[in-house]
Amino acid sequence: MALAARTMLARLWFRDNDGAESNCDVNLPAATDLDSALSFLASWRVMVATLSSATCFEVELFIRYVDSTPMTPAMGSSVLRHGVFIFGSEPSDMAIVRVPSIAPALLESSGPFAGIAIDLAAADVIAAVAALASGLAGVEPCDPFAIDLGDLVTAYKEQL
Amino acid sequence: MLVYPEPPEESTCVLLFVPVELVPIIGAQLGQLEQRHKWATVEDWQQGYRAFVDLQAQLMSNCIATLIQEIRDLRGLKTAYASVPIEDRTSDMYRSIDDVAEKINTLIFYIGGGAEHGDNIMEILRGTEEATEERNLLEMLE
Repeated sequence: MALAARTMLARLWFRDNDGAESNCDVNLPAATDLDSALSFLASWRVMVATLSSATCFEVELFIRYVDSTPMTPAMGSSVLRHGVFIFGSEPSDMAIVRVPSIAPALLESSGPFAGIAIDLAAADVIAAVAALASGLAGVEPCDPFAIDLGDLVTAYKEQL
Repeated sequence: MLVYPEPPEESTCVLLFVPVELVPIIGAQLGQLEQRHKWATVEDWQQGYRAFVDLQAQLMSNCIATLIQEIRDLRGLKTAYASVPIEDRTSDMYRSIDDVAEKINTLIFYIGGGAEHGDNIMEILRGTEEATEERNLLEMLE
């Protein structure tokens, strides 16, 4: 598995008076340093605002890499089937992390939630949950509101 | 876009029976409401996100099974079925609520100082009276 840098993506989100949303994407060279990319984004947002009658309400900067190794997804894989990992101790701090195409082998094979609940005793699941709850490579993930994820509450399969 | 509703002064919930086979589909639908663009403001989004993640967690709580087991524990298992594994036990293997109520009434009668026994067990427990005869409360419940 080898990762190669792709262009950065500067994305501006706009909303119209009906509440509908659309985005404006601009690619930046992959070698652009982060500070320069953020400066571009801030200035570009002001500039595009003069071109649009909608309101720019959010900006995003993607730093992108692509796996250059050819691969064939496993039979039976489906990104419409997610592994859902729910963290938090109270309703007021619950957060969620999804893994596309959760491996069927990681689902419980017996009990009331057979085929639905994720086996929390599986070694790979234990490792991933620990990384999310306690951090990985010196970084502790958080929810969309910058609150630590906390401990795992439950994990199951969802189907879109 | 959604505005998070003002909750009533007195918290109220509804109980919904979700067939377990629908949990993955319903969970995915609830998950759609975690998205920022569904909500009018950041505050609405934060409340909505928390609420709908909590609902997804509840899908896995199997609360009715827990409630049924709590009720069965209260009724008590008939001794003849003590060796049957919990997952294989059926409702008729537990005492009826009527039986339990009758036992409790009997117990209250004796604790209060039943007609056949002069003792007032509450007073004995308090240490203000001496027991005149030995009683085995468990035997009374058989």
